[in-house]
Amino acid sequence: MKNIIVCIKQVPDTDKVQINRETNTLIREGVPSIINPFDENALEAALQLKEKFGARVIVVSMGPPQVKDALRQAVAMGADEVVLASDRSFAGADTWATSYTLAQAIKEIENYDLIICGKQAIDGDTAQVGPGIAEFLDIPQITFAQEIGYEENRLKVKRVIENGYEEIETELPAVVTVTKEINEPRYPSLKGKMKAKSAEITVWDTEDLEADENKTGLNGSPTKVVKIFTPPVKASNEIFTGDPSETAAKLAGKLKELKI
Amino acid sequence: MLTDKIRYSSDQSIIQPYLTDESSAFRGNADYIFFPENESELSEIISSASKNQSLVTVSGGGTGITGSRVPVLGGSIISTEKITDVSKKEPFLQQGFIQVKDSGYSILINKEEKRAVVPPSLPLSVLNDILKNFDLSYPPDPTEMSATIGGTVSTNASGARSYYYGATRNWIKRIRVVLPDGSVTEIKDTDQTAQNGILKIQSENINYEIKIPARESYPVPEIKNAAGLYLSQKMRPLDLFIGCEGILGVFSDIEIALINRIKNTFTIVAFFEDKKGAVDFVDFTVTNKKIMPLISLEYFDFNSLEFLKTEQAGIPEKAQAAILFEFIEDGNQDDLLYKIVEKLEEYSVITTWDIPESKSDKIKSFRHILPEKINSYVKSRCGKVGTDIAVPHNKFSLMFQACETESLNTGLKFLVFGHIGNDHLHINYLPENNSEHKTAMRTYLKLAKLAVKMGGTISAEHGVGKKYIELENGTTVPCLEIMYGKTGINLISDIKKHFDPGMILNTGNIIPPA
Ligand SMILES: Cc1cc2nc3c(=O)[nH]c(=O)nc-3n(C[C@H](O)[C@H](O)[C@H](O)COP(=O)(O)OP(=O)(O)OC[C@H]3O[C@@H](n4cnc5c(N)ncnc54)[C@H](O)[C@@H]3O)c2cc1C
Ligand SMILES: Cc1cc2nc3c(=O)[nH]c(=O)nc-3n(C[C@H](O)[C@H](O)[C@H](O)COP(=O)(O)OP(=O)(O)OC[C@H]3O[C@@H](n4cnc5c(N)ncnc54)[C@H](O)[C@@H]3O)c2cc1C
Repeated sequence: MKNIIVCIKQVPDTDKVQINRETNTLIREGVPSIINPFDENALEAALQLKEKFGARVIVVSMGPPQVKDALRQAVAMGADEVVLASDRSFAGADTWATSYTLAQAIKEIENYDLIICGKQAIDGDTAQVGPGIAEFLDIPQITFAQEIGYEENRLKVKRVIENGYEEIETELPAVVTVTKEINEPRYPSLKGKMKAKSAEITVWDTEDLEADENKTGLNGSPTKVVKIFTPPVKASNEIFTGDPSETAAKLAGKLKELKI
Repeated sequence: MLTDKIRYSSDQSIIQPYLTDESSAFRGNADYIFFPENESELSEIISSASKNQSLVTVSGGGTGITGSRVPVLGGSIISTEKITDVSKKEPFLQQGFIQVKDSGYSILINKEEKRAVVPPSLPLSVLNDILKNFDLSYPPDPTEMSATIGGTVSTNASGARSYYYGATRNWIKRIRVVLPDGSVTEIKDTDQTAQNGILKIQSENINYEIKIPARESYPVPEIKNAAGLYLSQKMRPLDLFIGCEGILGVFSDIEIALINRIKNTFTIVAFFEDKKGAVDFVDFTVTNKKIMPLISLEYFDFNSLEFLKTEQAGIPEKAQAAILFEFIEDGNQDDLLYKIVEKLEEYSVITTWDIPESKSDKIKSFRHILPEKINSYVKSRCGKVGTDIAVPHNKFSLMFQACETESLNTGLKFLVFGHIGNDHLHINYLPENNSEHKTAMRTYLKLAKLAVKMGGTISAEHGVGKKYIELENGTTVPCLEIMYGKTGINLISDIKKHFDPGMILNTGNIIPPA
């Protein structure tokens, strides 16, 4: 393989996030940022392919300048090159605009064979960006990978489904999104950390990406957030009492009735 | 007769959990267990036991591994668990302390002066949670966080960061103690130190003068140490009680010193191709603290890493040893990082892991997981024999070699891990049968004697509790005798009898009962 591209998103460490009970929004102040955990799996998968078959691993992220911290960590883990797509006009992107912008960035990188994304971001949680990128680039996609194999220029992927997995083969280039099960991400090394401190981070703006301003950021986002709220919990329950065998039968009947 | 209010039980199903400790190697029996709720109830129980000449053993969190809280001679148990509040609050509230309640405990904190007054039953985990909200830390960090403050003062506990911050002894400002006759006294870190070989312990009702033995007859090692009473010519009265394993009194209130919260720490794991590389790297750091300002240094040998491989992927197969270390980020770490990388290269490092802060708890938990895994491994076998020895730094490399050679000679499965920054490693033998167990004990004795010869200690952090050992001549003696001989044991007995002529309190710990 020549180039493997990994998309990483910087997210708040949700273990440490608190919710403002009045506005029902995340309190982001003072919350440390981390690499989206699934994206660490994506990077680990790329590094393992690199170790086996040889390749350059290029990490791409879209976001504000502070995302550079996440990119430096990626270098410390072993990424060969990192690119940040950053422009004021990218702000407020929904998944469509995010996918478009990332796809534009990827087009700038020549000769890519494989694009690996996380299954989903732990904050946005939509799992749409990976498939979105594949659509914009018009290449095949395989989501929820738990194993990636590579033989004779073809990718063999085990994809998690409800009661097992499917095996899917594709030619390259392709987009693959990965689950937690695929691997355990390595820790950055100290040497990597030193290297990361002075690593050059390429930053691309709208112009560099030859992006259409009407398709990026808030402008380019068809979805608009109208209101964020926690849905009220509808608590309605029924309690069966009496002889245990009778109540069990009643409960079973009810479950059948509700088709549970 | 005790006040009706005092809670107690003679129900064996209630008593049963208190009849052993985390070692599972000791078993006791007791007729009663008492649950005093405050200092005056505690004093009443002990005073009554003293009058009736009945034995009492104090129980804290029960995480000890030397049988020190186990009532092997019978009698009664006093559990501190219901003493969840500080006894004399008023003077502190007037001095700007505020009261904080958490998880059923109540403590007093003075953020400006970085002091706190806590009840003896407070678990370290709860203390840490409370302190986080005040941006403060209590530096002693023994691995087992369900230990109580009372227990840790009683054993002078220490942890990974004791490399930098020292053991519990350094962080105690004041204690209130119920003495074996039931009287209560308060002892401060500022009380008069020993003068001309005499240590005075005075309060309203007592006036004890303790003769401090000459250094030749009781040579306390000048390193991390938790074995026996602390006795030295310049000691404070407080020093006598810290690490006394409950034989001189029961702590009812403890005032501790705090520091600004330890944060922004770097956590690194370095894997080495050979053990010597790891030991030499540590030697460089320990002898060059100015250049390498680390706050902890922990060692894991190959077999320890084997136990951890089920918890953590990516541990290099070739790694013969690993060092886990921490330092505090002060915004200008590049030089230090560069130096560390450079040094590690010199000492045959295979790779290093730079653990992001969000994951450092997982890595540090390995120190806790490892002893637990060992315990569950030996449960179906023949128990384990573990050392707690430490030596002066200039002897460490020799000791390390000796441990290696002696341990390999046994042919037993063993693993080594621990606080290498304090020249303190636990060698754990995992015998498969009784004869292997005997071999392990013989090796233990050999190494313990060697450590003492080098000016070291047989127990750097766990204490000696009720540990006995069979000598080459077949006699069984308290473990501490290896270190201080019969003379030392007698010196401690004399002091014990000063406080507790009837030998009722925590009897069997450190020195023999009679
Ligand atoms: C209806 C709606 C409206 C929104 N409006 C706003 C808004 O106004 N302002 C705002 O800031 N956010 C907004 N967001 C959030 C934003 O759209 C998403 O965070 C972003 O599009 C990524 O989607 P996601 O987090 O669900 O990622 P997923 O699709 O769950 O992520 C899957 C994978 O895609 C890759 N990926 C995702 N995002 C990036 C990235 N930025 N860089 C590199 N790789 C990436 C990663 O590999 C990740 O694992 C909105 C989201 C929704 C659903
Ligand atoms: C997995 C594991 C890891 C450990 N790691 C460490 C470590 O890193 N460092 C270390 O130092 N120890 C360690 N220990 C040992 C143990 O946690 C310590 O010895 C601890 O200080 C015991 O506290 P405790 O409250 O559990 O006391 P207990 O076990 O209940 O009692 C210990 C002794 O203290 C006495 N005592 C208890 N409360 C009082 C009181 N209020 N007044 C007077 N005497 C009292 C008891 O009578 C007994 O003699 C470890 C143990 C385990 C199981």
